[in-house]
Amino acid sequence: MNAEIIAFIALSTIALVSALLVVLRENPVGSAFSLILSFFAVAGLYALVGAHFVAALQILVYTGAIMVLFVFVVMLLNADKPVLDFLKTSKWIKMTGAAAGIILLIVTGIALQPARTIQATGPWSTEQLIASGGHTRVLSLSMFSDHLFAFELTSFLLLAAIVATIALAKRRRS
Amino acid sequence: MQPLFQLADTIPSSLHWQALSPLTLLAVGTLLTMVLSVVRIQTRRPAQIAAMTTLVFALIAVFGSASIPSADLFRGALEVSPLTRTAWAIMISSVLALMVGCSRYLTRERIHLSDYYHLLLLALLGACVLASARDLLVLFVSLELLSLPIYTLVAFRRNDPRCNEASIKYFVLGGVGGAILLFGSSFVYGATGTIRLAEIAARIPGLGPEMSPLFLMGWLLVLAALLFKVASVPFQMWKPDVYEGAPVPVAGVMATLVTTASFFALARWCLLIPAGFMNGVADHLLFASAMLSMVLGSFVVIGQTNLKRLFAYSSIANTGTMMLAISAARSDASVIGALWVYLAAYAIANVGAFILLSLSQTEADQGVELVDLAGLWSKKPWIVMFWSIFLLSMAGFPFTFGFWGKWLVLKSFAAQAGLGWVLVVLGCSVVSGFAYLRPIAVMTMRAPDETSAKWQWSVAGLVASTVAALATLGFGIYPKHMVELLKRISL
Amino acid sequence: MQFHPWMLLSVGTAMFFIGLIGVVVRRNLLVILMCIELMLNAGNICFVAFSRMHQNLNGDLVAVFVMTVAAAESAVGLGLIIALYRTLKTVESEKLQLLRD
Repeated sequence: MNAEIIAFIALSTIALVSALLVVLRENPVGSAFSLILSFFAVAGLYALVGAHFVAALQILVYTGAIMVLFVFVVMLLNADKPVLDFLKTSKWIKMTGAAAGIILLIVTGIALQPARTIQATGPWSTEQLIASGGHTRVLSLSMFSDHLFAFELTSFLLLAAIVATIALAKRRRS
Repeated sequence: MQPLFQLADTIPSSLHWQALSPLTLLAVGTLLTMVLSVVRIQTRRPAQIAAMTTLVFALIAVFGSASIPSADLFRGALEVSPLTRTAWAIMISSVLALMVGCSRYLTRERIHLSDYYHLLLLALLGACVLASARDLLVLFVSLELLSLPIYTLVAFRRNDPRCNEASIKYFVLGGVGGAILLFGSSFVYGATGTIRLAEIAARIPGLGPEMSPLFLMGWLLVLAALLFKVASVPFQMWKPDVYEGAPVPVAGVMATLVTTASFFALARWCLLIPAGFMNGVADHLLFASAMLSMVLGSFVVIGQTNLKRLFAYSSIANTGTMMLAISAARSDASVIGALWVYLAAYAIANVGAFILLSLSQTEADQGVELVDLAGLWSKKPWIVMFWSIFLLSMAGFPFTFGFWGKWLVLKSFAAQAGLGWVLVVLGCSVVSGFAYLRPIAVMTMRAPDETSAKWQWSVAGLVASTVAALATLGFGIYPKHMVELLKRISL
Repeated sequence: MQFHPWMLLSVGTAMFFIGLIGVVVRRNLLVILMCIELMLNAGNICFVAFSRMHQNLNGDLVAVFVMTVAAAESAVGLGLIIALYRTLKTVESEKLQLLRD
């Protein structure tokens, strides 16, 4: 039981428990804050496995931008009143949902069994990454060479999101 | 430190830039349309002209680059080939026809925002990339680029609560579909170690018995997400509701653009794994989904009185038939050409039908119902003629383009399935044929009603639907060039 | 016990299914959107885990791009919810009954 495993167990417990709380909490603001906590824990997990750039982006983009927007909209729409919408869902749907979830989890667990034994080696092990200047450097060089097209396409996607949101927010001129 | 990555083979050569010119023109045109739309903010005229010019130039570029051989560009992320050029041609011309044909609708509904054109162009860009994606990441990003503007366009009549409801429904289900696509892609990546589709296909034979379940699960999840996008059973329930709530041109865009692009991606994905992989699970699932969609769509379409819902269910039935072509092509890859012919015929007929639908004048409060067509023959006979052409093409009557699509799909399917299944397909065609004939009967035989909707030609609508009708009849009567050309395009 | 990436994979899979059940069960549209973000994040975790397994960088890069896409999608989704609220004055999904077959 080294420190790595202890840290992993702690962070993953926080991540999964707060993800459950997102679904189970009645107050949407509470759900939002649980989600923020879950994202922070996941960022910690990323840093633990050595994906430093992804961890930094997780905090900057997910918690720093998306969740702030969520909390803002929840407050704007006065949706912070506790809503007991769980009680209105019929028992059958809840039980079917839980059963389906468990079945899917088991099926996925079976499919994932071989993942335990993969010992694939590739070009970028941790030692190689450190020797080549760090995760961020290698990742950014790869982004602009292997995935240049995806990069340009994502910039159009962001443009589309901006145009879409502004179009939705404009007042009608008749 | 020495350079870790080479940029040289990422940037395409000049020949390949020419092959990419439709996409580049679309991208540049979109940006120019946005810039020009602030010239006169009160109207959408500058954006409209700029958008249509962009589409015309992009279409010319598609035909101009026709002789360039196939290549995988950007280190395997994007493909340019006769297949992708066909996809681009179909999609760009459908959007151009819908943009031209439905412009009177926008004026009547007082949709003055030029964002309509910006969003349409961006969605078209996403669709073109989706049809040529050879990479799991590009597949996901282009699917989202296609979807986000469409979610917004569905909500464009903002004071109509049905529009907002339809767009939220579509958004939630589409968001879940995208997340499932991502999750499945991660499994495919995990099993093979790469995200390029070409390399994945090369590594599939080498997957041992341990990795195959993982790969298959990932493949099935991505398939589920793509089946959602084309509205195939069991993920088809969103289509009628969303079509009913969306504005008519947007429903037309969904029927032609989204379906076409998703089918190209679906065909690529389904033909990725060989037949009989892991006891043929994939084959059976594809076949079942195709048959059920066709049967469900054909039977439910009969009872529909709302025209947009009728087209939605007809689209589900057509999706089923097209998926039969894909499932036939899994055993014999050369018959995939039937799918392209069917897609082209389906796109043209739907474009025409939705343009005609936008000519009616009661969209605001309630949808256009079958009774609104009553007695149209005595008032506006030419609209009835055009309606008949498009409806008959959807039904697959001889002398229309749709007939050749159905014929080729049936032929390719009959070569592999038993007689019983062929009879099922023929039966569904006959059953849905009644549903297509019913509007024609209402138009010609029922007496006109004073409370029914008014139909009014617009010049642009007349021009666009004439082109579509000529294409449907022309390729139906003289199929040689078009059908042969499309049939020979392989994946 | 040595840390192996499949542990991260199990976390990602569990989070995906938590999100999926959340979308099905909850009625508040904002919470449904949050569950969609959970699912996308879970996909990211799986990609990073597989990236560690194959010692490749493609998985990390996909995670980076997916984060961007998720941000864009959530912005549009929230805009749609606000537009819905303006006309229907509600964010409960069961109040959306206008388009039934």
